[in-house]
This record gives sequence, structure tokens and C-alpha cells, in this order.
Amino acid sequence: MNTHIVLSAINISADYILDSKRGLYLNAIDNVSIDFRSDEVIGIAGESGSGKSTLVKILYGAAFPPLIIRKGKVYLFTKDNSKIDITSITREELRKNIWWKHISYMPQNAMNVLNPVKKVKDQFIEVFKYHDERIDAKETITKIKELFMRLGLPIEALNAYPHQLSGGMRQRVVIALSLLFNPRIVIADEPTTAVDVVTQLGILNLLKDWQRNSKTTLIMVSHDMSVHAYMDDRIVVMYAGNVVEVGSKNDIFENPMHPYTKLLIASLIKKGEKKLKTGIAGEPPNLLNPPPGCRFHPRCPFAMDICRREAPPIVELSDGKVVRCWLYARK
Amino acid sequence: MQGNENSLKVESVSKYYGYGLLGLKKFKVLDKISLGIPLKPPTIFAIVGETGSGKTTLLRIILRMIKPDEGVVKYKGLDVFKLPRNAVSWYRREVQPIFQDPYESFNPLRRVDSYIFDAAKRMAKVDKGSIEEYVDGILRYVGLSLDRVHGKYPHEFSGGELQRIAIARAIAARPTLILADEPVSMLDASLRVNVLNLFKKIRDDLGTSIIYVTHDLATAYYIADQIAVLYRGSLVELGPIDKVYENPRHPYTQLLLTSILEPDPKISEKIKPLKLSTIELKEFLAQGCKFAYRCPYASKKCFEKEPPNVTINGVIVKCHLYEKS
Amino acid sequence: MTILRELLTNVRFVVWFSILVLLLAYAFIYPQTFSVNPVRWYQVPGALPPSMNFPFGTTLLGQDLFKLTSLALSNTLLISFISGAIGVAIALLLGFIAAFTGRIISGITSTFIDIMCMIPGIPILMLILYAWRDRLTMPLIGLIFGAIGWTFSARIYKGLFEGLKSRLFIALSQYSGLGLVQIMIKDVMPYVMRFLMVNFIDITIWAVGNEVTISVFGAMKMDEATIGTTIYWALQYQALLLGIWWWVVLPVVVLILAIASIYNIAITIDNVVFVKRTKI
Repeated sequence: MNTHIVLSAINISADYILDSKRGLYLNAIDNVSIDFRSDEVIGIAGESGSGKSTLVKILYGAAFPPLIIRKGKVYLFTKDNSKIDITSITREELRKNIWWKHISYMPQNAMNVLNPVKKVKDQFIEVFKYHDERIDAKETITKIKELFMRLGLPIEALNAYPHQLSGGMRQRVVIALSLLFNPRIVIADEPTTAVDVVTQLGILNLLKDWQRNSKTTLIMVSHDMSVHAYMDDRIVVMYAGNVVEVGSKNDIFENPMHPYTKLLIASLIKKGEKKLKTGIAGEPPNLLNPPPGCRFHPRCPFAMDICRREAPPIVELSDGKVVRCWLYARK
Repeated sequence: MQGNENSLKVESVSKYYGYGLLGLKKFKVLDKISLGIPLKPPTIFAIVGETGSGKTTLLRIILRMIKPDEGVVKYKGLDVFKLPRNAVSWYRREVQPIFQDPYESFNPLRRVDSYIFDAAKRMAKVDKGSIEEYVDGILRYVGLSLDRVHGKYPHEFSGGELQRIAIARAIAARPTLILADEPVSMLDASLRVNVLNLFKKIRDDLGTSIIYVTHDLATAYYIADQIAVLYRGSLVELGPIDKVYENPRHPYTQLLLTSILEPDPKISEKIKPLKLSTIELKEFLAQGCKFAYRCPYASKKCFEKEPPNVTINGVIVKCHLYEKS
Repeated sequence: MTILRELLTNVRFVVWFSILVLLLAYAFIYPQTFSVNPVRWYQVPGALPPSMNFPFGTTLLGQDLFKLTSLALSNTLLISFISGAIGVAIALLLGFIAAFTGRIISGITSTFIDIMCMIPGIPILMLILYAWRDRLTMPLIGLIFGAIGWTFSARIYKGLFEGLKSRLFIALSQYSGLGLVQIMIKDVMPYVMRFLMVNFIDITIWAVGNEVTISVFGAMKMDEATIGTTIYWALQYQALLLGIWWWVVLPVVVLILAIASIYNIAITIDNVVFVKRTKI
């Protein structure tokens, strides 16, 4: 496959400052490195406190206080082969040139982003105007209609007010909004949490079809492993601010390596199952005071002595697999 | 103060909300819902529906938090909304709620253990001497302990822990029926199983029936014995869960079952494309079947006439397809 | 009692609390040492600027301003604190009735509150005082102020209670066996506590302002010493034109110090007890 890297996160460590006077920091991300390639759907999976939402904020440059990046860089590689340091450029630069055009971000509960007193089409026109003043209203509406048709959305939604549309429809409208300028990288942060099963499928299909047609990079952030099973080519599993495993979809679900991934996959309830399953004992750690060594060791059935003392190394295996665990470290 | 039947019966309950200018136009959030939940033998009864199906409203009606506009709710044969004053506290002892968001369930300014102690003292009438032991026992049953919980406020716990405390509070009152509204949807996937297993234990060890309201069919199948499927305020299918799962009759149930995403890497090959709703209000106001706009089998009759309730093989389906001519 | 320790280490709190304590001692303890009522005219040489003998100087009417101001402050504060307490009590009660009773009673109460909000309080206050001031004592005047000042606060309490009524945790308390009164105490009061303190300060400061205003219009018991009446007399006798600035300025400065100290104490308590606790 002829893919190249479009976005690269290198050794990112980041904290939330809670009280600088008392030295209270919450270590949200600890030494995370990921390469994102073109024409792939890559999922970032993790439960509460895993740091996945924080990570994506850093990825697209929205790391503002109280979130500060301690170490590491994020590089964006554009179509014309320039390399932009996302972690260093100003907010103005980001807003004008990067956001919406190179990277688009769909926040959680994006359906609530629409202005309730404006018709949908007027909001689209506004966004267009903000980014490209040369286009007039008629042209804009044509472009928007094209977009809707391409995405399979009903044109009648354009003339409606947000509250008249169902939650799922609003979510899809917001997705359309973020795809307006054909960004190369789209980050969808929990796009289907607030909707029902049937609408969820519609939204995911929308994203999947768009990605297949445009051959761009879709980053799916979700705590729901079923969404990852449906969408992803590759999955990055996070726990307590660390990347614990990276692998292809099949690898993660059928041959999980890291103990957390193993237990997580084993705890998922599949359709038609009545047999008793076990979840993971305990709770994710408090990131104000994370456990020493490996952050998963208090809940890990395979914990060894070294796990309690030293943080495990990042082990890179063949075919792109990555595990951060002492079980796989070379002696 | 006892009724004669050992069940909770919802009989033709409807609830309207007004909209439009002055709220004069009405749409039915719940439309003539009838179902029966057995208390003996203890049963886990799942009520499944999307957001907007009316399932939370139904639960709030059973909890006497909302009054129905039509119909009756009978607990052990007694009309829940016509109970004399002292019977209301009896009802509140028999029936206990668990809400979806544990952080909304507890007053953030109150210590969490005070709720359990209240429930133990006032509901289960545990005497002063044994109350600490009792509360500790209940907390251990849900996987916590009095030491861990004593004197702490809700924000000091994680979502999973707090929900387990909410469950402890509910069983501390020694209820006959627990009403759980999406109890695990706000919890991490890896913790859901633990809580759901707890529900199974509660049914088996304590003999308590549970109404489990959810949008997640997979978890419903995992723990429930019976299932009721709601669509836009109407009850479309009702029956034992195995039967409904193996042979879903109503087109909506079929759609739901085929749309569930599973944590199975081969799932994308199994799913078929489908038609989504654009404007919800239209469906709520439909004269005939509310699912007609999206139903692959819809006929003219479906848009005009409300479908009848047909019983097939122990399952009740509300659909014209099964009408006995 | 970590709250206490936190307060005592908070510089702002300690400073303003000390100032308030000093002022209270000045207003309520110092007058106990007087042999003669400082209001009496021509006790001391008139119109003397501040000096060692007379720290605040003297008024044109031959009063020791330092002693006069202390008595004035005590009366003003007395009226204001009482009015604050009464105002909060009435507002709380009416707000509760409007939110928690049956449709008819709550409807009547709500309408009553709304009507009372519209009626301008100051003219009524002035009328009452003009008419009855001979029969009124300072505490009674405080009561009347309170009976006028509760209106807008009542609406806020009503809103607060109605919002709380529909919260899930109230239902959970009901299902844990708590009755209406217990829910009031255990669930509702903690929410209301914070606002109670603010409300009390609010009505108190409102009363201070109104007392001064009314007195300057001459609607107070003019033979009693309050900050307002002192200013009244000073203005009547053209104090500023005559260059006797201390007669007007110094009592006002003392009053501002008193209000500022009350305000700052309230803010710091709010910060320490409530704001910090609901963060992490």
C-alpha cells in the first residue's frame, strides 16, 4: 500500500495544571508517539481517563492552558510536502490555515454546535464566508447542495432549523460542515455517543463512505469497541495516558497482546451472549498520583515485580505492532 | 397493606406533551402502553428503545414522578396514583430507582453514605445497633465497603463506584422491584459487565425483580428474561427474550437487531445499509403506525390505521403484518 | 475544622475581619463608656479640625465627632443587620411556600411576591417613618426596613427551590425515606446556605444605603445619631461650604470601611467554604 505519513506525534507528554501554587498537576498524557497515515481509518480506543480526548486536542493544536505540553512535538505533513509544527504555531495561524482546511475536528456532542436561531443553510454560508470571502451566496449554496448529495443527506434539511431535525440528522449536518473544505485529516471525537443504535450506523456509514471515496485519514476516537470494530483499519489502545498497544483491527480483537487489551476484549458483551463474563477489577488510576512503574499494574493479573517499579518500554514488533509492556520487552 | 396479585401492571398508559403556540397541539410521548412485570418469580424485564421512545417517561410514571394522562399503573393490584398517604411510603419501600447518571442521583453537597443509612433506617427499619454492619454488608455485596465510602462526597468517586453505591442504596431498602434507567450507559465498557452481573446476582440472591431500561440490546439479552420494545411511544413487541431474539417479528425489532454493532472485527461485513429518519416530530404524530415512514414492509393501511396487538407464540406484536384476517 | 484554619491563613480574611472587629468594638463597646450622650449639642467647642483631643474633630453644633460617629455607626449597623436578618427570613419563607405548596396557595403567594416587587419601597419607608417615628425604636426601624427589602430575594429563593424540586436527587431522598421537612434540611438548605449569606449581606448593605438616603431627606428620627442623620445635619449647616469637611467625610469613611469589611468577609468565606470545595 502506497501510504505516507500525514500527521506525526512524537514523544508527547502533557499535564493539566490544577493548582500551580500547590504544584497540583494531572498527568494526562505520558510519552505517546503515533504516526497517522493517509487513506486509513485509525481508531483511538480508551475508557475514562485514558487521555484520548486530550491527545486529539494536542493533535490538532488546541492545547491551551490549563493543558500544557511538557515534551514532544506534533508535525503535520501537507499535500505540497511542507512540514508544519502544530505544537509551535499560533492560534491565529491554526484558525486561518490549518483548521477546517487541513485538519477538521468534530467534538463530542457536536450536534449541539449549531446555532438554534439560524437555518442550517445559513450556518454553512457563514462558515464558507469565514474561510473564503470570494464566493457569493448562490455559488455557496450550490457547493453545499453538492456536498449533501455526495454524502447522501436530504436537501430538505438545509432549510430547517436545528431543533426541527432529529439528533442524528444534526450530527450528520455537523459532519458535513467539517468536511466542507475537503480536509486531509478528520478527527471524529465520540461521534455517536448520544444517538441510538440505528442512527449510529447511519452516521458511521457516512464517515466510512466519505473516507473510502476521498482516501483521507479518519481518526475515530471512541470508548465503544464496537465502533472500532466497524470502522477502523488500525487501532491505538490507550490506558491512563499511555498508549498500551497499537495494531490492526484483527490483531487487536483476535490476538490482543497487552493484558489490558486482553481483559477489555474479553469483557465486551456480544449480541446473543448470556454466559457470564468478567470485567476488569478495580478502577482506572487517579492521574494526580499515578501508580509507579506501569500504570496498569494494580489491575494486571500478570504483574511482575519490575512492573511495579519501572515504566515499561515501548516495544515495536513486526508489521507495525506496538506494545508497551514488560511481558514483551527483550531481556 | 397488600394487594392480591404479585405483579406490576401498566394498563393502557398514555402521556401527552403540548407543543406549538401556547402548547395546544399535543403529541403522545407514550401511547396506550400495557405490560405486566411479574414479581414472583423474580424477573429481569428489559424495556428497550431509542432516545425519544418514551422509555424514561414510562419509568418516571411508574416511580410516581410524572402523572399519566390516561391509563393506570397497578402495583400488587393497587392503583399507584390513588394510594392513601401512608401507602405511598409503603410503595416507596417496595419499589426503588437507579438512575442513569450517578452524579445527578446524589446531592453533591451531601455525604454519600447518608443515603444508604437513611434507606436502611427508614425503609428496611434496621435498628441502631446493627445498622453499621448492615450497611457495610450491603456495600461489600456491591464490591465496596463502609470504610471506602464513609464520610465522602459524590465527586470523590468514579462513575463506576458511584453507580455501585446507588445500587447499594437501592437494595438497602430491601425492595421487591428495582427500576433501573440506563444504569450502565455512562460507565466504561470494561466495568459494565461487573454491574450487570450484580443485577443478575440481585435477582437470584435477593429475589428482587428488576426493570432494566436501555437502548443497548446486547446487554438486555445478557441479563433480561423478558423484553418490551418501544418505538416513539408505542409498544411494538413484547415477550420472553429468547423468543424475541431468535425470531423478531416487528420490522423495527428486526431493524434493531441487525443494526447492533458488535465488538466483532467481521461486523462490517454483516451490516446492511438502512433508511434514517430526518424529522422526528412527523413520526410521533403519525395516525397509523409510527414506524411506517421507515418500514420496508409498509402498506397504505399502515399509514392510516393504528396496528392491532397480535399475540403469536407468546409474543405480542403491534403490526398489521400479523393481523389475523 | 480545616475551614477555620483555611480562613485564618487567608490574609484577606484576617485583615478585613480584624477591621470589622475593631469597628464593632468602636460602635458597640466604646459608647458604653460615654457618660453623656454625644448627640447633645454644645458639649464641646464647635468646628474644631481633627486633633489629639478630638481625633475626628468637632461639629459646628459642638459635638465630639469621634464619639458621635461611634454611636451613629452602632445605630446604622443595628438597623441594617436586623433588616438583613428579617428580610432574609421573610424572603426564604415566602419563596419556600411559593415553590413547595399546592397550586392555589403557591399561586397566591407568587402573585403576592410579584406585586410587592413592583411597589416602590423607599416612599413607603419614608411615609411610615414620617408618620410614626416618635413611636419607633432603632430595632423596630430595622424590622420595617426588613419588611420592605425582602421582595426580590423572595423571587430568587422561589426560583432556586423550584429548580431543586425537579432534581433527581430529591426523588432519591424521597425513595430513601425522607419526608418533606427532612428533605428541606438535608438537601435544600445546603444549597440555600451559600445564598443565604450573600442575601443577608445584600439586604444589609441595601438597608445601610437606604438609611442614609432617608435620613438625608430627614425622614429618620433626627434626634438619634445615625450615619445618615449626621450627614443630614452636616449638610443642613453647610458644613462643606464652611470648610468643616470632617463632619461629612469622616463618618462616611467609617461607613465605607464597615461595608467593605462585611463585603470582603462574605466574599472570602464564600471562596473558602464553597468555591474551593466544589472544584476538585
